[in-house]
Amino acid sequence: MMPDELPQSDALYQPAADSIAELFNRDPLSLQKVDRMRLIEELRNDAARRAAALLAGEKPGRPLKSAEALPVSTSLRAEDLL
Amino acid sequence: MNNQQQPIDNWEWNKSFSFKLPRLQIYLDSTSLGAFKTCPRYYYYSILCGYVLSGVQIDLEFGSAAHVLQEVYHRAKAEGSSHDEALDKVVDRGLTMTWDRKSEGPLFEDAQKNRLSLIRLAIEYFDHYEKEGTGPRTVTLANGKPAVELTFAFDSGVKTSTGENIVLCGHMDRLVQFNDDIYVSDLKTTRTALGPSYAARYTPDNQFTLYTIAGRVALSVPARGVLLDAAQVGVTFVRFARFPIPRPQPVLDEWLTSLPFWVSQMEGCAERAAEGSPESAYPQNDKACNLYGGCQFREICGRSPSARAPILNANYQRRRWDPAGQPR
Repeated sequence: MMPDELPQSDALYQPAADSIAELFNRDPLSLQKVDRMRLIEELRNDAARRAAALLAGEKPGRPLKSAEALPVSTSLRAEDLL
Repeated sequence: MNNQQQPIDNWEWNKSFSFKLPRLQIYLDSTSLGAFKTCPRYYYYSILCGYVLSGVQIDLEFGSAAHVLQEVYHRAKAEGSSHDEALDKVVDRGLTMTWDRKSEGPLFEDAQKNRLSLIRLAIEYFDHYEKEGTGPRTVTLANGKPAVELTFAFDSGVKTSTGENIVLCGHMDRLVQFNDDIYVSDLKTTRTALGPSYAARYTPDNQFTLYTIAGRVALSVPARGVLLDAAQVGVTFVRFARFPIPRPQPVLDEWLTSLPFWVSQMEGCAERAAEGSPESAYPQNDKACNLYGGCQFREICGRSPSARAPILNANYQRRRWDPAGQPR
């Protein structure tokens, strides 16, 4: 299977678990060491999950919309390109 | 005074420059020398006038932040912290330095290079390479201190026609022992895929050659070259590759032999600038405009000279470049 033919994965695109996002959205001065260590563990788990998905043959990156879902222009004009 | 009336040239003397010839830089770091080699006009705008595009320069900011976190980690380790303790300090610093207290949000939000990818990069990088016994060992200097965050300055042996010494200076992250050799360690973050072609861009390379010479001359260690730790930063991943980039002594010698040429070119430009119109004294190299994704001054150079000042003043900030006083 060529790299471009590998199945896309929503799981791989998922940038961060909610728990990571929650820690990232807080004022960093309000975070305690225990919060940061939790963040480190969450990101380690996230990395391990992505690595496992890659080994399983999934391709990292944003899942593409299906061709049917993409808008198709049938009247491309010069000004559309400007 | 409105923008249109502000002159382009606002060069002011600092201790990186000649006492005798205005604008002749005698403390040369790799950024300054590299800028001049790339394009004298680029050097004039970015180093002498200090123009930098307004707003966040994401590649620069992200790379700088990664270097700071590397310093935090190695300093903590050198002070006796465990891997996890050092990582906690890295995350603490990384989260704080990328948080805008005014907007209560992240400072940069590029799709690839952002707050999350910076912290992810740091954790995965140090986990991957720097756990006890698996990474290159930090060299201990003759004074007993770990070779981390090293500022160097040494006489190049080249003199200007005014009789002043050209001093080569700069700042390196770390000296490491790797496979029985000593290297200058350097971390680069990139959006491009890592492979032999990525590593090849650093041979020849002004910065890496200067760092190797600095390791040998200023720090008195037999540096074999630069150990490049490259990190590819993607939207949802980081990848790492490590490349030893050697510099044989004849290559270093050749680089040093070419230095008087570049110094004389800089001197010629400074002499012409002293006679009047400084901007035109530093010619454009119009074959360099598209390098590295496009020069940030391309739009300026494409305009008539009389139309440049308003754009520079409106779209660019000014900073002071003084490698002798502020090596980083």
